[in-house]
Amino acid sequence: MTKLLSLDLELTFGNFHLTANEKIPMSGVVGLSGPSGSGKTSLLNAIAGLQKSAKGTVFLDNEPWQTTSEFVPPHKRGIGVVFQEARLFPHLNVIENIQFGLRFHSHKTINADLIEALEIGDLLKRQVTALSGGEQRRVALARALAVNPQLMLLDEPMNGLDIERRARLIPFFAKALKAMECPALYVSHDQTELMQIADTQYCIRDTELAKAGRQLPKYKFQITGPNTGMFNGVSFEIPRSISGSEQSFRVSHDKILLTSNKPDSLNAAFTLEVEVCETIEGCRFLKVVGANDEFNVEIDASYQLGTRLWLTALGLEFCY
Amino acid sequence: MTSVWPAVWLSISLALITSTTLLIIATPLAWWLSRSASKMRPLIEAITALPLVLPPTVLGFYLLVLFSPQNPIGQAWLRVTGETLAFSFSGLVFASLIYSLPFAVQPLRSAFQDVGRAPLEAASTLGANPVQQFFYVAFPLARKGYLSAFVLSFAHTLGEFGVVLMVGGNIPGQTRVISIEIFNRVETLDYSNAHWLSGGLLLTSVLVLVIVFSLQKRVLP
Repeated sequence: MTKLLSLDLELTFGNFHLTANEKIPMSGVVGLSGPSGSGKTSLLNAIAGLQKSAKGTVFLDNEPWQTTSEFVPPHKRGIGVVFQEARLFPHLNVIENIQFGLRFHSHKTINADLIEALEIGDLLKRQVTALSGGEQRRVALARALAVNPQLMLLDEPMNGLDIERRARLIPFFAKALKAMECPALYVSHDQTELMQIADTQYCIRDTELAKAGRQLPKYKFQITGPNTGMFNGVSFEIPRSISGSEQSFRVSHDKILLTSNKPDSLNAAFTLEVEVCETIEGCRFLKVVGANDEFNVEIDASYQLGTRLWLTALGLEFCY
Repeated sequence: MTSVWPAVWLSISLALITSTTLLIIATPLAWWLSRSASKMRPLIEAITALPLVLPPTVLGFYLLVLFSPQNPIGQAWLRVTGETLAFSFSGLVFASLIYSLPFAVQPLRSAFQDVGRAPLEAASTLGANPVQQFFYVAFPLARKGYLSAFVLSFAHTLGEFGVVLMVGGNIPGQTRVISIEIFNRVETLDYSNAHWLSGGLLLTSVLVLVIVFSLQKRVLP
C-alpha cells in the first residue's frame, strides 16, 4: 500500500531558504535531486526529525510527525536512514551493527533475504573499520532495513565512492529495498544514479521542492562542450537543446561513445540506438531510432547512410 | 613507631570513593559542556576548572566555612548525621569531589566531543531514545575517557595535601591520609617510612600517567 508523505515545510538558515509543499506518494524509490547547497540533506533531516529548526508540518498518511503543536522524535518515527557517511558504530562488528536497532523494536530477527540481497553474509563477523567503502554502505543499508522501517531515507548514500563502485552498488540497493518492500526517498545530485534506481523523481528548483516533470525522458538532452569537437569519429556542433522537452540534460561531448554493438557498460547513463541520416544538403546526422528526436551531430562520411549505431552517454548533468 | 598502613588504606578508600562518585557526577556535567551552545557555558566551565588554579588552602578555607555548623549546609549535615563535616572522613570526601572534579570532567568532556553527534543521530533513527543512545553508543565510544577520568581523579585525590590539611586536619584513621603521614614522618625525622610512602606515591603516579598516555590516540608524525 502506498503511503502518502505530506510535507508543508519552511527551512531557513541565514540567507538559505527552502519551501517544501508537496504530497509525495511513497512507492518504490522516489528520487530527490537538486544542485549542491539546495537543501536536499536539510529537507531529508527535517523529514527524519533531525532538523528541529524546520517549521511546518510533516505527515505520513494520517500519522503526524511534525505539526505546530507536536514533534515526534526520530526514534518514534519508524524510519530508516542511510547517511552520506555510513556512520557505522565502530565499537560493534558488522552483525552487531545490523542487529543494533532490533532491541528497540518488537520483531527480533533479521530477514535472511536482506543479508542475501546485499551479499554481506561473509562479512558478518568483521570489524566495520576493516570494510571497504562499498561494503560499509551495504552494511549501513542492512542496519537501517533490519528494523523494517515504514519509510527509508537515503542521503547521497554513494557519496565519496568512485563511479565504478557506485555503478556496482546501485543494483544492491535497488534489490534490497525491493526485497524488504520498503518505500524510499533517495537523495542524490547525480542524475545517472537516480535514473538507475528511482521510479519517480522530485527535485529542488529555485528554493522549492517540485515534482520532476513527467516520467523522465531518457533521450532529451543537449550536448555541452566546445562549439565544435571531434570525439570517437563524431564531430559535434553544439550546444543545442531538444525542443519540446520540459526536462533536459546536459552531456559533455567527451562522455559520448559511438559503437557498432550495444555496449554493456555499467556506467552508462543511457544507451540509444541511432541511425545515420542525411540532410537535403548532404550532411549526415544521427536520428534516434523510433523517436522524432535527433541530434545535431555531424558525422564522419565514413559512416554509411542508414547504419544503425549505439550512442552511449557515460555521464549526465541535470539541467534546471 | 606507629604503622603507616592506616594512612595508606584511608587514602585508597578516599580515592576510590571519590573517583567512583565523580564518574557519576561528572557525566551529566561533561555531557552538557560538550553539547551546550549556552552563553553560560564558559562560566560553568571556568567554575569547573577552578580547582586547577586555586591554591588548595583557599579552596580548603572556603570549604571549611561552608562546612561550619553556622552555615546552612554544615547545619543540615549536623542535623541529619549528628556529626560535623569539618574534620571528618565525609568532609574529606566532599572536599575531594570538588578538588578532583576537573580531572574527571575534562577527559569525559573531550571523549564526548570526539563521539560527536553523528553516531547518536544514527542510533536515534534506529529507534534508540536519548537514554539508550547514551548507554548503547556514547558510553561505549567514550570508555577510554571514563578510564582516564577514573585514574586521573584517583591519582589526584591520592596526592592531595593542602585541602586535606585545611578541611580534615590530622586525625589518625579519620583524616590522616598518605600525604599528611609523609609530612608527619618527615617532621619527626622518620625518613625511612617517609621514603616508603613517597616512593609508593611516586610509582603509583608514574603508573597512572603511563595508563593515561597509552589510552590516548596514537598520532602519526
